[in-house]
Formats: sequence, C-alpha cells, structure tokens
Amino acid sequence: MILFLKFKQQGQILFLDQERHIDVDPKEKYFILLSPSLYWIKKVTLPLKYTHEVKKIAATLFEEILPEGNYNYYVVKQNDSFLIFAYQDSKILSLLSQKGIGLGQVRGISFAQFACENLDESIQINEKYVLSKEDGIALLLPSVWFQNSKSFDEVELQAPKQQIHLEQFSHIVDSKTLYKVVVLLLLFIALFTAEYIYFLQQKEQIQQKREALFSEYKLKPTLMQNRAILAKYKKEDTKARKLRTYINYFLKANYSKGERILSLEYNGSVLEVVFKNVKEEDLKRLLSRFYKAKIAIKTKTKADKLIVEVKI
Amino acid sequence: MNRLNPLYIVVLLLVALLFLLFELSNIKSELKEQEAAYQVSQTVAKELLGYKKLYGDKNRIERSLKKILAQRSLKSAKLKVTQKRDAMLIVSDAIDLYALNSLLTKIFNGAYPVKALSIEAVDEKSAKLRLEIRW
Repeated sequence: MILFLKFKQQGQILFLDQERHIDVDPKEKYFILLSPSLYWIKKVTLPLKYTHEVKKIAATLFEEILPEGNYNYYVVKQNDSFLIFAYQDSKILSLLSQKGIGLGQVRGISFAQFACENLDESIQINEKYVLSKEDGIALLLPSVWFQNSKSFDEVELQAPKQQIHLEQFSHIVDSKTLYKVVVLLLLFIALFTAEYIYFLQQKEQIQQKREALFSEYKLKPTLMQNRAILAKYKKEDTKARKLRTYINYFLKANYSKGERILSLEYNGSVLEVVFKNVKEEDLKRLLSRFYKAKIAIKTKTKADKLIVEVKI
Repeated sequence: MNRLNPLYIVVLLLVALLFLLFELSNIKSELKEQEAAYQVSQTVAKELLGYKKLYGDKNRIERSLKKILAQRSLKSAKLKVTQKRDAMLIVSDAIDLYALNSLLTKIFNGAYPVKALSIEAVDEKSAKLRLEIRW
C-alpha cells in the first residue's frame, strides 16, 4: 500500500533520527524533520530548467552512490543549481513505527535541510552528533568538533513549506504502475458500463416489442393465461380432427351385405356407433383402421345390435 | 491530513468492476430469458391467432355455416336451424344420405367446433340428424 501524507496544521516539530531518543505522546500531532542520516543529498548544476526534469534523471545521478534499495527523489531549485534528495519511504516509515509514532499523528514530513536554512549554530542531536551546516548543506557531524552547541529544544525551528509524501509500499509497487492499473481499471469499467447500457437498452427494446406483440395480437396480460387459452384451442382442434378421422373410419369401413350403421352419436367426449347385423368377430375387418392405429375401442352388445364406443 | 491512498482507489475500482461484472452477468441472463420469453410469446401469439380464426371467430363461423346451409343440395333435408348467442343447432327429421354426406364433409373440412352430433338411420336412404356447433 502506498500512503501519501499531506499536512495542513503544524504540530510539534520532532527530529527523527535512528540514534535519538524521543518521548512520544500518542495524543500529540507531530511535524517530522528527517535527520540527514535518513536521506542522501546532492547539489548539482544541470542544463535543465525545471525540477520535474531533474527528478526524471535523479536516479542516474545517484547511481553507484546509493546502497541498494527503493528510493524516492525530491528536487528543489536553488539559484542556478538543484538540490536532490534521495530517501527510502519504507525506512522512514519503519523508523516512525519503531519510535511509536502513528501515521495519524504525523502532520508533515520534511528534510532537516529546509528547517536549517537560516541556522547559524549547531544543534545537539544526541551525545555523539550535532546538526550543523557545511557549504549550505545540513549534516550530522561528531559533537566533539563543536563547542557550545544548542540543544534541540533551545532552537526555534519552523516547519518548512517543502514537504514530502511517503509512499508506504513503494518498494512493492510504484505509483506509476498503480496509476496505470487505475487507468486500466477505469477503461474496463467504462467498457463494461457501455456494455451494460447496451444490454439495458436491448432489454427495454424487447420489453417494448413484447408490449407491441401483446397489443397487436390482443393477448391476455400474462403468458400463462395465453398458454391456457392456446391449450384449450389445441384440445378442441385435436378433438375435431379425431372426430373427423374416426367418423371417416366408420363410414368407409369394408361392410358386407346387410351390415350397416344404425346410429352415430357424439356427445363431446365419446363417439358411439351402433351397428346392425354385425357380430363381434366381424369388427376386426370393419374397424381394421382403429386396430392398426392402436385406438382403444369398447364394444357391447344389446339385443341384435353391436355398440362400439371410442373416446375422442 | 492523509491524502487519499491510490491503493484504496484501486481497491474501490476493483470492487466497482466486480460489481459491474456481476450486474452485467445478471442483465445478460435476464436479456437471454427475456429474448426466450419473447420468442415463446411470439409463437404462442401466432398459434393463438390461427386457432382463434378457426374456432373463436364467431362471425366467420356463422357466416360460413349460413353459406353451407343455403346450398341447394340441402334444401330437400328441411333443416331446422336454431341460432343461439354462442351456438347453432341444426336438426333434420329426414335428411337423405347424399345431403348428409355433403353437409358432414363441409362441416368436418371447415374446422367448426362440433359439440354434439347425432345421426340415426330412418331407412336405407335417409337419417335423423342433430348437429350442435358451439363457439
């Protein structure tokens, strides 16, 4: 994760150094001044005009100087030259954590260099080192070289305007990659949103077509109702076809002399045919078509009449 | 004050993307269902229209039945026609077999909703008829 820190209010100024003991109040907000031991600084004169141009080549300027690690660079212009700072976000964040300073307590972070711009004397940082300026560059120097150094609390330091934003996971993924991922995700989101809108429109079109269809064919509001009506009509149609076919079978049967139909009755579900002079054994001949089509028939005899029933 | 973490933006966008993909998949399946339902509705509508014309069009049934009954071949049958709001009853005490055959052929080929039919032989050449068509 990358964390950027931005600060509006100045808190108590705290000098952050590996070898300096500090008492941290968890309720207090702090402005962090980074000790020169936490960054590398280089003053260069380049045929470039802008700091962002210098920042692009900063890594090459520190080549073979910096120990291995992931560095971020901060550039500031000073007259005709540039001051380039190289620092490791992870190292600073780790030290903040070691010292018990939560990120929420940090109001701002800057280099000691900026706070010491108008400093004329040396400041005692710990027993071994003092903070002093040599050729305009703030450095940690052995305290034995200096006499009458002031303590940190004696000096009134102002929080510098120049601040850095720490990227918490810059050693895992750099900002550029992350922004590329953001752009890619936004592109995908735009693409899928467009697809979603297209499908939404298609859905609405189908809905409209469906409404038009229902209105054109004067259908009932639900498909279930229409299916029920269709089923009713289909049943009726099947019955009509069956009735026509079965009556045709009866009328076009192979009758022998004397054999005839006395009556034919259909009541909506059953077709009953009464034969005269027909015996049960003659039915195979007369009703061969029913047998061939495996249509169930019921027969009964009443006096000299043979009655055949077929379900429609 | 902490500036908005770009990784939070990435996570937010990822969540948005996942949500969008979920919604997209939902709308795709809804669309598929709607298309299928529309196809079914279209088939049902067309079939229904066909059947309605055959069995549900009262005017067509009445008109064509009257046309059939007015035919010359049926005059001798002295058909008694009773018309109700949703049905027509055709009765004859003695219809000759030629006329009966002609009438039944036309009725069965014309797709009329026959509700009841009764034919009873009177003699070798004629029969009693009772035909009910209901729509």
